[in-house]
Amino acid sequence: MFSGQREDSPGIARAKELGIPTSIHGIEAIPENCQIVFDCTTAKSHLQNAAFFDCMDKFIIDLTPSRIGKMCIPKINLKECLKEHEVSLVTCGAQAMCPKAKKIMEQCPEIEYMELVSTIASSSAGIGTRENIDEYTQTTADALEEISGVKRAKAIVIINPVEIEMRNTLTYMLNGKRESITKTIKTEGNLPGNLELITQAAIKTAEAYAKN
Amino acid sequence: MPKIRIISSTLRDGSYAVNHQFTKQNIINYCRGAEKAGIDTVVVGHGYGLGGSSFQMGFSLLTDKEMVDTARNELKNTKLGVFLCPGLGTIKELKELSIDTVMIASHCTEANVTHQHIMYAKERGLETFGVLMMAHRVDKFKLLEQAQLMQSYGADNILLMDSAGAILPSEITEKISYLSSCLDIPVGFHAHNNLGMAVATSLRAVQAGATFLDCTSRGLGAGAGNCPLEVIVAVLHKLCYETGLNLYDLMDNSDLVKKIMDEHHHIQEISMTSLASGLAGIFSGFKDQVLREAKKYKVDPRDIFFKLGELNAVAGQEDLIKDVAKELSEHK
Repeated sequence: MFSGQREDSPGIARAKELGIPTSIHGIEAIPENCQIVFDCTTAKSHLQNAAFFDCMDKFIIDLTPSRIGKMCIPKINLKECLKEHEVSLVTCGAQAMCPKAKKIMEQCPEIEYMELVSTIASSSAGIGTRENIDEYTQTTADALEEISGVKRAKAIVIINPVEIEMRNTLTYMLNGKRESITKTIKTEGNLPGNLELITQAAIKTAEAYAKN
Repeated sequence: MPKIRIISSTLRDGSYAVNHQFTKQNIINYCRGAEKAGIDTVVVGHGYGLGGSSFQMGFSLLTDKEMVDTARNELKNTKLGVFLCPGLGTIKELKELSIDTVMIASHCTEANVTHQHIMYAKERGLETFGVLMMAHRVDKFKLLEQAQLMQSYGADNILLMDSAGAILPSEITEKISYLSSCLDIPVGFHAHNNLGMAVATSLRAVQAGATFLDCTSRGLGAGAGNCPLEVIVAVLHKLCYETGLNLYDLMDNSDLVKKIMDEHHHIQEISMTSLASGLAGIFSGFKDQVLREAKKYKVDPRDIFFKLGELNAVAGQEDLIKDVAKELSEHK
């Protein structure tokens, strides 16, 4: 079931093409017998829907940067997350760089501050990201802190109208020297790399839950 | 002749020029001078605005709150403003500050990231400027479309920024006259001097319908600097525009800024790197990092700027500089 709000939504049109049942009644259309809900709305909507989700006996996978639910980076903590009622996939930037940040902190726990700059193409920054940009950067920073253990993190998002692949640069000080690593997320399929990242994380989480 | 409003971003754009190391005393002294000269609004903070202090954009000596509180103490009639780029600064940071005005800026094609911020600012009763950066990158139609979005969110004014100092007088005439004839709110201009055009483009902007200018004293600012406030005011007065400002006091404040420059060992000039960045259409604020990476990788900083220009880098993409420098060194 693919449920949205706008009849003219391109997402709904695509779901119909794929033969998936659709609805324009948002959260109210979620069927009784469905066990997993992916929330791809906005941080604000997710907060508003929180009360509904709490009452549902379903596994909620939150793709918005709302921060409700345990932070889930499948590459790191998938197993523990499956025990939760709700998990948060935080942001695509967090999915991209938390694993690297955690590795670095394990090797160098003395690092006190990490900074992530994510540059994305305008075409891959949807209205959800734009309307939630503060939540995006704050949630990414919080995810870096919680998942990697660094004391303080900062996240910056830069949007460039040129067609570029998502670029993430993580910077920190080590032994008095400034170090940085850059990871580019390639676009292989139909979706821009950053959206593919969080979508794959959602699928991986759901599949693991379903197998359980 | 209409009255032209002059805003001073000396303590914001000027931050680049002093490597974001303005001291409390610098802020106090400048604000006293600005107040005395009758400057309408002073914008204070890191060059990139709230949250700008970072590896990416350079760490500042003082926190945003320290800078703003210091200025707040000195200003009575002059309004106090801050700058904010969504994606970097947040509403949460804005909430902590005692200010009158906020400039909310996006790249010239991404105005819809400013929606929640402009709405917050208006709910709070702040005078709000919607700012379109790197205005040389798109045509007047795109600029209008983006400005109209900001206007619809509630912005009180629209400010076009020539962040790269790449715009020539005829282009600013075209863009400002189009925007000011189609928008319902005042339109203004913020020039940079990379091609030596800051005063000329500022004047042309006024003649094309801009009712305010965002300048800096002594042109203190990123790269080749901004339109020198006292110079454009002198020119406007000569052409019988009113600004409500006392030129002698502005000149004294400019001499104060010269002392601040000397204190920070800064020379405000069109260096050859700044000339290159203007031609390349790259944000002026990249200069220091470009020079640093050029030295490290033993490449020509001008080549870095032209390569960044080919990549259409936008403000905030300082992390690209190192990669470009490295690549240039590998292909030498």
